[in-house]
Order: sequence, then structure tokens, then C-alpha cells
Amino acid sequence: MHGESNKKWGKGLQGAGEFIRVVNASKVYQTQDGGEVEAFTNFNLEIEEDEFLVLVGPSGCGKSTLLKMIVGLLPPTRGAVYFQGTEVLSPRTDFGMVFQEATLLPWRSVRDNVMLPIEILGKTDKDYRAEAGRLLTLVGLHGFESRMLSGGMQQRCAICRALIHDPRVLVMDEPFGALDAMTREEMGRELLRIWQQNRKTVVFVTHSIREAVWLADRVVVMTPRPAKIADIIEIEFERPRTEKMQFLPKFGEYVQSISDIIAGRAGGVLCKD
Amino acid sequence: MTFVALLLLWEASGRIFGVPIWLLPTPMDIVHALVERGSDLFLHTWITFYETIFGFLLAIALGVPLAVAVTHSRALSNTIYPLILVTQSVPKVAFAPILLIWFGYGDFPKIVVAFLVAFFPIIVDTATGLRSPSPQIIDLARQLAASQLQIYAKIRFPSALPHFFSGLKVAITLSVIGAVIGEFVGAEKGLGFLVIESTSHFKTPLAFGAMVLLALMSIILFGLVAAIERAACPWYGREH
Repeated sequence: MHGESNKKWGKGLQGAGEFIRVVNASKVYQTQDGGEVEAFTNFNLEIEEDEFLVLVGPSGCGKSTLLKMIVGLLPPTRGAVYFQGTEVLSPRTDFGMVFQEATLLPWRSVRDNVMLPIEILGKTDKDYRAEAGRLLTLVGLHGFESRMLSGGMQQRCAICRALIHDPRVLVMDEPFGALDAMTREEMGRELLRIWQQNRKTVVFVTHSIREAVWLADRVVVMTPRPAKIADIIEIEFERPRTEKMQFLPKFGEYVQSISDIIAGRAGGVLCKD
Repeated sequence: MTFVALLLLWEASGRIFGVPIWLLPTPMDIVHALVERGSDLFLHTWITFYETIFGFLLAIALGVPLAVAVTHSRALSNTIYPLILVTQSVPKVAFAPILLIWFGYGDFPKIVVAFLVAFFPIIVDTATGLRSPSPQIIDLARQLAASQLQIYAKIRFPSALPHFFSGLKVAITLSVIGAVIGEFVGAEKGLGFLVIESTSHFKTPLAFGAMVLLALMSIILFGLVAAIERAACPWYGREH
């Protein structure tokens, strides 16, 4: 477990891209007036098992669309998504999702919210009660049965809900985007801690470059619509990540180079436009 | 307290200025008239009560499934909504005499009017409620391969409850009005009939008495719906 948690991504991968592969995927939306909008065209991405992959890019560059395609909620117009070599043609129930809004059901208790996927999947409640308790303890929500949860607590509960059925992949669409800066930092720490104890593949979308660098094994930097991959940055910090890493010069360099890519100044050289 | 003060003021000014009883009876006159009328008031109240309740329940029985249909498919929504709007645009008062021709003098046309006025807020509010869950939670359920039945049972219906009850609260008071309109047009029983009958004989105190009973019925029914709402969605009060 500990040996694995120190494992770094990259370096001599066998069977690269065998876990999740997005191959030549395009997504075209019909607009109201009969026109067409391309979310992305000929998009290719490979995601490794157990890696923490973060997507950053401008708003509306099709990141959410891409996530929906990966979980099988939205078929690509052209191209395909593969999970372990099998084409994704219907919703993948072995994935878990977290959104910007916690989207908890207010009539349910904290625990019953966490148990929602178990009910939907038709699994036996009893077998997962203990797991719900374990996850809630892990995020510090144990014994919290009050329904008046703060934003951060709601999001912790949503993370537990996404993990209850032990998904292969955790898909997170700007999960901390609606939280204040302090709660956000804390949630990042929490997530890493949870991930350290429940290693699985995470696909995480954010607008915060610092958050991306701190969390990710690899940061995928995307361009505006139609979305393309501008660059993929490997973050070579050790696991588990510590607070201190955020103050290392290397951390600043990562942040700088990613903002440069987003601003269209590759390699630190200013492009005149 | 304000209410009692107003009643006292009404009583006093009626006596001091000697307003004729057929023009504006004082509260005491109204109580007298009710007591004098005696036992058949219960019958009239009961008739109007059950016309109201039947119309109201019928509106729920039809409104909720139609709200589901409207939520479920855009095509159905585009077909059903204009039709409902047309039925709503026809004034019920104008429609009531036709119902009389169709269904006669019995209870049924009153139930139909009560139903017609209650139906609209129920379907509109329920449909709004069924659409209220965020697209994300629906996506989450769909990603877990939830059936439509599960999505409705676990997400849409509970989400719709507060909206549904808002609709019911409007609908129940409208139902009382609907039943009375039905009775105005032609009836032999009911509080609405009593108002028409007593005014035609200048028995103004009794007409006022019938109105008091109608108001009480409305308030009690509203309170009942509100109580059921609090029991059915206790989380709602805490959030808002």
C-alpha cells in the first residue's frame, strides 16, 4: 500500500492508454437556430490506471462534455471512448461522479445521501452501511446527522456518495469551484488523503492552476473551443503531497508554465498577437 | 386581537348608526340568523364541503399524472399545455351554466367546477417541482443506470413535494370558490345556494352567515393542507 502510494506516474509504462482511451472523439452540438457548435474535434487522451489526472482550461472549452463522454452519459458524435479496451456505449456504473454543486437530496440524512448509489444499483443496503460509516469517518462527517451542512461538508458528503460503490474511476467536475478559498485548500488536502487511502483513477476538472499542480500526476492543459490539448504537464512531486511543496520553486515553475500555455505563450516566450 | 376589535367596532357602529339589518347586519345579527336557521346548516355545509373535496381530489388525481406526462416528454408538454391554457382562459362562471345543461342540478357540475379551478395550479406547480432537480443529480442517477421509475421515486417526486403543496394550498381555496360558483348557477343545497336564496328574500344576516361558514371551511381546509405539508416535507421548513 505504501510502496504503491509512492509510485510515480510515467517512466516506462507498459500498455500505455489501456485503462481509459479517448480516440479521435468529436462532439458537435446542434444550436437552437439549426447551426452546429463543435465542443471538440478529433480529441485524443489516454488516462492511466490509478493516476490523478487534472484537466485545466478556459470555461466552456468542453471539459464537462468530455467528462460526460468518459462516463458514458453522452456518446461522441465521432470517435470513441474505451475503458480497458472496451468501447463505452452506455453509462459506466463503476464510475463515481462529483460536481461543482454537491447536489445532495435535502430530505435525506447524510448517511442516506451517501447510500443513494447503492439503492439505485439495487445492491443490499446492509453490505454497505459499514462502508458508508467508514467513508463518513474518513471525511470527518461521522455523527453528523444534521441536515444543515456547510458548503465544504456537503461536498465531503458528495465525495462519499461518489465512493460508496467503490468505483474504478472518480470523475470530478470542478468539485471545489463553489467553495471559498480556505475551504477549497482544505478540501484539496482531504481529497488527497482520501485518495491516498482509496487509490483509484481520478479525472478532475478545475480552473485553478495551483490546485491542478498540487493534486495532479499529470495536468492536461486545454485550449478554447473547439478544445484541443495544448500540452500535458507531468508533475514530478512525490506522494503523498505536502503543504510545503506549494512553496517550492518548482511548484511556481509549473504554475507559471501552465499559465503561459493557457495565455498562448509557449516556452516562456511571448507570442505577439 | 385585531380581529376581535374589528368585530366589536362593527357591532358598535351598526347599533349606534342604526344601519338597517337587510343592508349590513351586525355580527350578533349574523350569529342569531345562523342559530335560528338551525340544523339544516350542517347539511348545506356538508354538501359544499364534499363538492369541494371531490373536485379537489379529482384535480390531484388528474393533475399529478399529467404533470408527469408534461415533464416526461416535450411533445406531450407542447400538446397538453395549450389545451390546459384554453380551459383556464374560459371563465368558470361562464362555463358553469353549460355544465348545468350537461349534468343537471345534482352535485356533479359543482364538483366539475371545483375540479376545473383546482386543476391548473396543481399541474403547473407539480410540473415545476418535477423539473426542479438539478441536471447534475439526474446525470448522477443516469450514470448509475437508474431507471426512469427510480429517478422519479428517489429524486423527482420528493423534490416536487414542496411545489406540489404550494399548488395544493392555492387549489384548495379555489376549490371552495369553484363549488360555490357551481351552486350559484343552479342548486337546491349548499352554502352557495343558501347565499342566493337568502339574498333573494333580503335575509342578509343569513347570507352573511353562509359566507362566514364558507370562510371558515376555506381556512380549515387550508390549515389541513399546510399541516400535511409540514408532516410530508419537514426538511423544507428548515431550509427556507
